[in-house]
Amino acid sequence: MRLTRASRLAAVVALAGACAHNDVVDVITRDGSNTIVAINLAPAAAGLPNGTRAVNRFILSSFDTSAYDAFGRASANPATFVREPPNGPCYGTTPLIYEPGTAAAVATYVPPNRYLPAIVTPVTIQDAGCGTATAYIVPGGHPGNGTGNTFWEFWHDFTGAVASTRYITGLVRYAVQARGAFDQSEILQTGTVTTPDSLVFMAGDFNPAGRKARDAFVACGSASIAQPVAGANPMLLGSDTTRSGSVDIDMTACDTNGVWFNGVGSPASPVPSNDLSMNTKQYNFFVIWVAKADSTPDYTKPVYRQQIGPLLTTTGQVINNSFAPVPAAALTSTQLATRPGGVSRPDTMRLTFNVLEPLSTGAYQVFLLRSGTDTAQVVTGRVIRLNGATAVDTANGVTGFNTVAGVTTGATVVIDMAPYAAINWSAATLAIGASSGNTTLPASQPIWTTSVFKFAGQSASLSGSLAFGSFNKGTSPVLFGAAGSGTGGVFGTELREDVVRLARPPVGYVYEAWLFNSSDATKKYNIGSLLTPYPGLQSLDDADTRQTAPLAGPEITQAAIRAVAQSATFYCDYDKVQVRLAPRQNAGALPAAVILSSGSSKGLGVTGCP
Amino acid sequence: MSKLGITLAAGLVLGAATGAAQSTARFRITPSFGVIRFDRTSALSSTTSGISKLWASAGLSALYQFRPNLHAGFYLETSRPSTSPDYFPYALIQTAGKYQLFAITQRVVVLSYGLSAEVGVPVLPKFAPYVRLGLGRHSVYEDVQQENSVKTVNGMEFVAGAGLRYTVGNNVGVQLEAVDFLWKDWNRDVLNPTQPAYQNTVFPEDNPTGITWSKPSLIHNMRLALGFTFTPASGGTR
Repeated sequence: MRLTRASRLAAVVALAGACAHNDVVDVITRDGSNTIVAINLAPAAAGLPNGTRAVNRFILSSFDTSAYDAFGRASANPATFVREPPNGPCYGTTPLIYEPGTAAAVATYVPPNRYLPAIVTPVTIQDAGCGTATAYIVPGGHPGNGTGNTFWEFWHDFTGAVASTRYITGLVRYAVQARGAFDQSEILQTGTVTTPDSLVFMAGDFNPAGRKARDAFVACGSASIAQPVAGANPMLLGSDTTRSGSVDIDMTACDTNGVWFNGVGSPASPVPSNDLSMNTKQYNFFVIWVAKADSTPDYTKPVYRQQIGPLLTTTGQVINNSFAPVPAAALTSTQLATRPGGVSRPDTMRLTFNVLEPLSTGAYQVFLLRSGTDTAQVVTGRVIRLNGATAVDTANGVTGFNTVAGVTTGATVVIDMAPYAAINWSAATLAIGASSGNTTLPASQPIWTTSVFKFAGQSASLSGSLAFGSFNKGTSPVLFGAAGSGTGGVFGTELREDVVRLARPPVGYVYEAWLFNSSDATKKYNIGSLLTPYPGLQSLDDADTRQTAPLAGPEITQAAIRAVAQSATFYCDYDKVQVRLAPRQNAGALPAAVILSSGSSKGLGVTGCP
Repeated sequence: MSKLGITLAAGLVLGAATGAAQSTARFRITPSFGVIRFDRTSALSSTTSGISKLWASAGLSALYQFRPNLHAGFYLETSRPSTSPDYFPYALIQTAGKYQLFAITQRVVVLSYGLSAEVGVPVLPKFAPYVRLGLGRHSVYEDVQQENSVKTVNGMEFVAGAGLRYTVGNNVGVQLEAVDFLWKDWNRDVLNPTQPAYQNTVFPEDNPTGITWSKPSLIHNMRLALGFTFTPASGGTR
């Protein structure tokens, strides 16, 4: 019986214990400290190596007319789409198609006539009252013709007309019957045409329509206005007869019948964009002909012909390099060198490199390369070492250089490109070589440009910025950018930072962890390289090329910073923790490139600092 | 076997045993009290070597005598241990620009239940050693306030042990028993009271070493208990 009672009592005690509820939370202490001031790191991206490229001029090697718009004459708008010169006396400042094609006032104007059929008794466009040659195509809806108008205007006033002769105007869609070299390419390269091409109508595309009666400047409501006709070619636009030695034909065409677009930039605009987008409903010439007795044009007697769109083949394809207007003269060699079709080299090239850390061993060198190949050549040039932007000293005919801590921070390398003209170099890179006598392209190629020679299809650039990262011979260049973050702080006597998602350093570069005093530059401490995550804590000095765990991808996913001091007061001299970037051969100076930085915290938050 | 299945089976055995006991006095009830030392990898003990950590436990069994030396029936054991922070990353809390590391524990309720059988070997008239085998389940009820949810961890368990029983009277006795409750598929991480977002990864060196300890799928929880036996159908201890 006693046992039974004892068992019941024990059960009650056990149940009471089971219902107790006392949670335990202990604060962890290290070296007498139980709080850690947060020292978190954020991207800084300050003081990264950089540079510029400058070219005096390009020297033409060859010209490739197969490049799109090889002469650089295409435009999204119609040709000569400009404000009426000089300051819009008649039509204001809204652009219109002004055939002389210049912003300056032109009193008279005769366009170049390079095609067959040849111009007979060429006329000269004269000033009809606006202060400059009157040769306008005013798009529908242009505010110069009054708000809300819906008509296109074609106004030409010319002298040189035969007395008592009737002339008629029209828009024409011509194809080119080529003979020999394409006329425009010949003109632009040589200034002459060996065998003129002919302007012809494509098969089935000769459908004259429009207005043959005397011109009339009227609104759409007038019966005298020209009505666009779908498929018309040419689209005739009114006529007039010589009076007092001149002719003035000012005709409006209504754009509200669904055939034409009210303005430019549309496939239904009668005047096309000056590029390869022209279609076979648009027109590429404005022509004035001598009219026959019934006012139809005598197509063998054009007296004025202005190209307003690109040319077509006889099968209706837009011809590259045929953009309006017909050129008047050849481009100079210097001009051709910089146009899209030009293949050219710089005469001299100046590469300026900034923020170059002094190297303990080796030298900075400049190499020319054929990107993606093993073709590379070290450059012999003039090196002007800089302190900021100030020249410090100059060395001629050298293949390498170094900087000096506190004296020089970069250099300009001036390269005479004539000795290197035999190969079409596509890139130039600063490299860190084993010595200034090195002739083999080193793996470390941190600063580069891919603009050296100008190739067909490229735009010419006389200056630009250099890229920083890993050029990798141009096979797979990787631009470097500061990224990542860090969390941590000083716990007891140890500084610990957990760093994540840093970009790999450029090949030949390493990350260094530093303690830094932002108000006293003499107080700095190199903690050392980044480490693999705990518990490994191995050096990541090879993070630029390492392909084994924990590094396999394009970034350092996780890393650590560790500093152990004898006493927490060691940290009192500093207020920032930073991750900086330096060449592997860094001579020991505080690198200028700051990748991650903490905010300022006196003594890194250690209590008891003075 | 499911928890429900075990409960039903235990009920059937208990019912049959009770009915039999009313007429034959062959049904034995044993409340017991003792201490339990959970496996050192379970997070219900500590990383300290040796005995490590002991917790009070209580139990109750109802066994039917099928043969003079063979009893079988239902058992129930319970204890109320605290989890050890030795096996989990500390909690890292940032407030007002400062970090602090915390070791957090929680009290849990451990319940073991199932079927077991005993085979006794009488060596003296009132003194009999025996061995015990069983099969059941364990349930660990976590702290509702700390987990912010009603969370229970269940799993299968095996029972293996031995004891000494001394008979005081015809139907009353005491016994001292050592039993190993073997938990299958145990994962101690389910007892971590700290949410992953607050687990310390910034200062990993400060985390306890136990977080790297192995996690065997079968753990041994040793219990030593003193039990009091009686047979109610025979009039109990009156």
